[in-house]
Amino acid sequence: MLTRVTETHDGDDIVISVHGDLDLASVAAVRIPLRSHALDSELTLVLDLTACLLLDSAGAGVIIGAARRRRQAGGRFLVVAPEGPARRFLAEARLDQVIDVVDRRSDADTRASVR
Amino acid sequence: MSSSTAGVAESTEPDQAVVLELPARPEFLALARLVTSAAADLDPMFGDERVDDLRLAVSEAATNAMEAHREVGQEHPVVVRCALVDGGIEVEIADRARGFDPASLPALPEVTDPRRLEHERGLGIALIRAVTDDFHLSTGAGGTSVRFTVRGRFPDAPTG
Repeated sequence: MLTRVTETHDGDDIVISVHGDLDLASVAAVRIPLRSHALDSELTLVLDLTACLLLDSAGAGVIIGAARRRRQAGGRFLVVAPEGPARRFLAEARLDQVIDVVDRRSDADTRASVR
Repeated sequence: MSSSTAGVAESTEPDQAVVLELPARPEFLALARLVTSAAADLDPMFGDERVDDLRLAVSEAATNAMEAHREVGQEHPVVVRCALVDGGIEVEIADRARGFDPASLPALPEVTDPRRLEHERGLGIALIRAVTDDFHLSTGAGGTSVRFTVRGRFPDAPTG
C-alpha cells in the first residue's frame, strides 16, 4: 500500500495528513508540504498521523526538521497522534517532550490555553 | 542463495529461515516489513504491539543497511533473514558496505536541550535496542549485521 499524503486548510490550520507508513520511502511526500508552509507564522501547521501505520526514525527526521523550522519562524506546529504505533514511537524517542503531540485535533485548543 | 554474504550468522536451523535479498532502495522497505510481520503472524501469541515493534525494528535496520549501500555505491542487495524461534521471531539484516565504528555514534542531546531539534537522524540503533530483545551488532570491513529477537509472548507463558 503506497503512502498517501493529503493537505487540507481548515480555518487557521493547515493540516498535512499521512495515510500509511512514514519511512524513508515516503518522507519526501511529507517534507514538501511541510516545508512549503514553514514560514506561515500566523497559521497552525498540523501533521495528522491518525492514519499513520508506521513511523520510524527516517520519518521522524522530517517531523523534527519541521518543528525546528516552525520554531525559528515563530509559528505553531502540532502533531496529532492517537494511541498507536506513531504515538508509541514519539514517546519511545521522547520526541513528545520537544514537540506538541495531541491525541486529536480538538485537544489542541486545550493545550493552547494551558500554555 | 549465496552463502558468502558478509555478517549473516547461522543462529537457527537453516530450513526454518526465510531469507530476502532486497534491492537497496527505500521502496523495498515496505516489503521487508511485510514479510517479517507475516512470519510473526504464524505465531498466534504475537500481540499487535509486538508486531508494531517488529515492523519498526526491521524498518530501522533495513534503512540503515540501504543507506550504507548507497553511501559506498554498493549495488548488491541487502539481506533480511527471519526465523521463528521459541517465543518469538529472530531477524538478521546485513549489508555489504564498509562497516563503522559503533563508538563513533554521536550522543544525541537530551530532549530538554534546545539543540535536540537540530538532530534529525541518529535514533535508529537506540530504537532497535529499545523495542527488541537480544540485540546484537557486528561490523567490519565487509559490512554490518544486526540481529534481534522480538518475543511475542510473556516470558513465563507455557510454550507447549
